[in-house]
Amino acid sequence: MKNESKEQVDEDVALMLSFKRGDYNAFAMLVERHQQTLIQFFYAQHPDQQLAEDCAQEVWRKVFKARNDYVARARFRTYLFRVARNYWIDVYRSKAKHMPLVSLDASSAKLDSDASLANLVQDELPTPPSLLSNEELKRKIEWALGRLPANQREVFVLAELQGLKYQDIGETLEIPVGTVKSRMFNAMRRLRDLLNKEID
Amino acid sequence: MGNDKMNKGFDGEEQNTSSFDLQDFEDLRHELSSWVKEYREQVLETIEPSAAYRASMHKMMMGLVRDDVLKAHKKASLSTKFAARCQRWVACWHELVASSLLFRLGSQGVLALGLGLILSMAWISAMDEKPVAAKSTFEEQKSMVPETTWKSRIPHPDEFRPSERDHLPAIPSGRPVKKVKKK
Repeated sequence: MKNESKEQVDEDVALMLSFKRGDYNAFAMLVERHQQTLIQFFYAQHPDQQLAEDCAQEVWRKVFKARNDYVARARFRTYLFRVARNYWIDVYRSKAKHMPLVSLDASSAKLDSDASLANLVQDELPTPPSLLSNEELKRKIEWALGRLPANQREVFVLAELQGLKYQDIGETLEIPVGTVKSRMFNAMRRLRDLLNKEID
Repeated sequence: MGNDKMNKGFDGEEQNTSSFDLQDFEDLRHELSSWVKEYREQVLETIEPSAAYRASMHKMMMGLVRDDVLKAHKKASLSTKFAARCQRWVACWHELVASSLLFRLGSQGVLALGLGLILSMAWISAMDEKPVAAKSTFEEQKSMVPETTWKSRIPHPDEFRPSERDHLPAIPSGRPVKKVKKK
């Protein structure tokens, strides 16, 4: 399995290099391979499929245009997510006022001021299938994810929902692995508290 | 501040994040794992690119490839044009040098120089009117466009023809009848 994934990784880089030399088929193959992951990444940031697809398309356009500057220093996925993340920051900044889900200041301030929240909710989080339908699960997780600070949410999404290693996340976000773990820990704690609170 | 670290969000807001130990970290992960797994399997993995997205991507890629090919072609054409122009100017220069040598040889050289200049200018203007070496024939342009996977999805024009033909009005036979003015 590990060998397979390594082959896939090398193949992605080879495809990108091939595309850099002018092979458009290689680009089409990369799109086919990663477009769903990219849409999922944006969807997890903000649960709106239309927006996620628009963002994914824009990222592909950027990859296409910047192919001459591509250097195979890391995995292709790391490169792709870096482009996606940078684009998301732009979208986030331009639309922050109109997105009800992304309420950085409100959620952070509320949770920070309510420092005892973690202590108040001490019960273990119940497993979802025992309590919730799919629709409820979707609603609750998306609600909780939307209330995470953006920098914690992106780490959580990349690590838990996209399956990237902390090392790769560090490279994608250009931060040390220690910071990735710290953000991850805070994200999980807030998520647990929010979900517990929502269930109560 | 102790063990607290400062993190910055997208908007530069600062948040206090306390330190953690590995056990807490793993416990939290374990606690959330079933939620994450359910969400990933039941929500995220069911998200498929929509038909509208695919169509839009197809259109975008075709546009990008077309722009790319035309840009490369234009660049190649310009460099060929420039090289051809340089070649002509060098030839012209040689002609002038030859003319000046003639001028040194005798008084009739003045006439030869003038004649040489006129001929050179006429030759340059004649060359400018000719098409430059880089011919942009349709076949050449077509060979520069690679057969992309998305290109193959474009329906062949023949597929449209029968239905179009069905809807075309019948062609009238014979000459159009002239209207005769009533007196």
